[in-house]
Amino acid sequence: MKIMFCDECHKNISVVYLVKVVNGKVYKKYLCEECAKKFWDGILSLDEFSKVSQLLGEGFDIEEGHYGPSNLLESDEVCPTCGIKLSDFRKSGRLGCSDCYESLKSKVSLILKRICGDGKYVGKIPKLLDERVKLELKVIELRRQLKFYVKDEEYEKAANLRDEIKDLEKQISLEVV
Amino acid sequence: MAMLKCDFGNWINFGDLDSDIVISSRIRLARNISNFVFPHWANETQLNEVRDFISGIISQSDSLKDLVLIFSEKLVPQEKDMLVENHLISPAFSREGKGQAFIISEKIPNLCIMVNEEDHLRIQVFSTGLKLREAWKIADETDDRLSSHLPYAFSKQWGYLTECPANAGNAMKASVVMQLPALVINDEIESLFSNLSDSNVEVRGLFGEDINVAGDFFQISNQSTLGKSEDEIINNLEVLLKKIIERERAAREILLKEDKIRLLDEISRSWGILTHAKLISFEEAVDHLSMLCLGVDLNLLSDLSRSQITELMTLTGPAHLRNLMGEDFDDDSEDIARAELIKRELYKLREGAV
Repeated sequence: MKIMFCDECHKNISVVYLVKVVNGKVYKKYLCEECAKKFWDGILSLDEFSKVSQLLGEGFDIEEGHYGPSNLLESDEVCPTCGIKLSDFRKSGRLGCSDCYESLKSKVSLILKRICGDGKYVGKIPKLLDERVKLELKVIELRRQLKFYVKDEEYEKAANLRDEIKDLEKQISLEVV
Repeated sequence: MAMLKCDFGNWINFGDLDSDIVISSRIRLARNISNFVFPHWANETQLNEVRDFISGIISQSDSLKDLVLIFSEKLVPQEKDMLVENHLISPAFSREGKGQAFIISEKIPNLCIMVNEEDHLRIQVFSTGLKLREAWKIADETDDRLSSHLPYAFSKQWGYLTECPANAGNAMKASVVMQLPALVINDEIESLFSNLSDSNVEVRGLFGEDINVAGDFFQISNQSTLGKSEDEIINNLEVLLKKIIERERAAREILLKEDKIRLLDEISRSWGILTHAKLISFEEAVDHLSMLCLGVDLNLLSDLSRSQITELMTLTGPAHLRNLMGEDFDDDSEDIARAELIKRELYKLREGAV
């Protein structure tokens, strides 16, 4: 998907596509998260924001003369794998298949950011996963651990961990080749 | 029916009930299989395909030999209701049924995996008392065994991919059932739970699907799982639960010291209702049985044990009652039968209570 920059601040990448309807005329705007907040705050409370169901709910359609994240994209995106449309997801809060995370990414990543912040995945890894992805996830986990060691001033452990991370990164670059 | 008489159906009464405040713990992992439509959008054929795929893998793999997959439609509604009352499967799972299944283990009595509920697989491990860590260990091992054969839907950015994106991440739900009667009597419960709103936990009543809480039972669980490891989530939850346990204990002490007569009065009234009522609903029965539990915990009731009371609580659930009373059981007579059963059992148990 083509990356669009925010029409308001012209600095950040846009994550929201807003549609304003005035007297039947449609005005469109691509907005970054920060700028979108300014428009959204008048419509939704932060608490409502955090609830996916409400974010996706029917009562969220735009009224004439108001900005509202009703149609995130002009055309209804469709997941090519399962055929679920963005509008289906908006109504139900449920995705159609695991590929929807990629094909409806604009909306899904927005929701996940709302709920979880910028947190990267941490946790267990399925056994059948590709070796390279396993290594990459391991590096993310070790980097997190490294921060804790530095914070607790356990510099020896931190140094060892840093070496381990370097080794893993070398392995990853070899796997790519 | 014979199947559900096997031991796993009554995990609530298993083992030691050392903890009088945390009744039970549960770990649930949501998993989906790549290249299959998620259950909500799948038609019956697609649901059956997922189920057959999982069933095939289980029957072919030596390391999964202990797992038994049971098709939902092979159970009569009453059997499903019993599983709901044992908190082994969700009410939604029980209602739908088509293309669904659940998996139990011949080796692990407290494991129950739902197939085609909200996600393709929901691995659940139950335990009595506060044993989240033990339950997590079993769930983790079972998950590893399954993921060695089943291609899970997973991304390095979002973790395990779930039908509802809010569950993505490590997709673990750790929850406990707590009984907090003293905090309820002392009117502390609302302020306690409103203080929890920032701690990434969710609180709901155990009996009934809405906010109507019967018997002072609460289910407390973590919310989002992205950006935190399973261990961190369990650690955070445990720290919080220990604080709640302390507060409940303090509230019980205060009640005993300052208001013993009121407490004895409440317990005695519950005893009176349970042993004299002619008609009693499940919710009312749970409320009063819960008071008896408190009486046992505070040594105000002798000759009764907590496990006997919680067993009675399970037995008086509508589906269990029906199972006990047999096929001819009439809808209208449920409350009468419950009242009679409770009265009979309590008199049997009691030789010198209160």
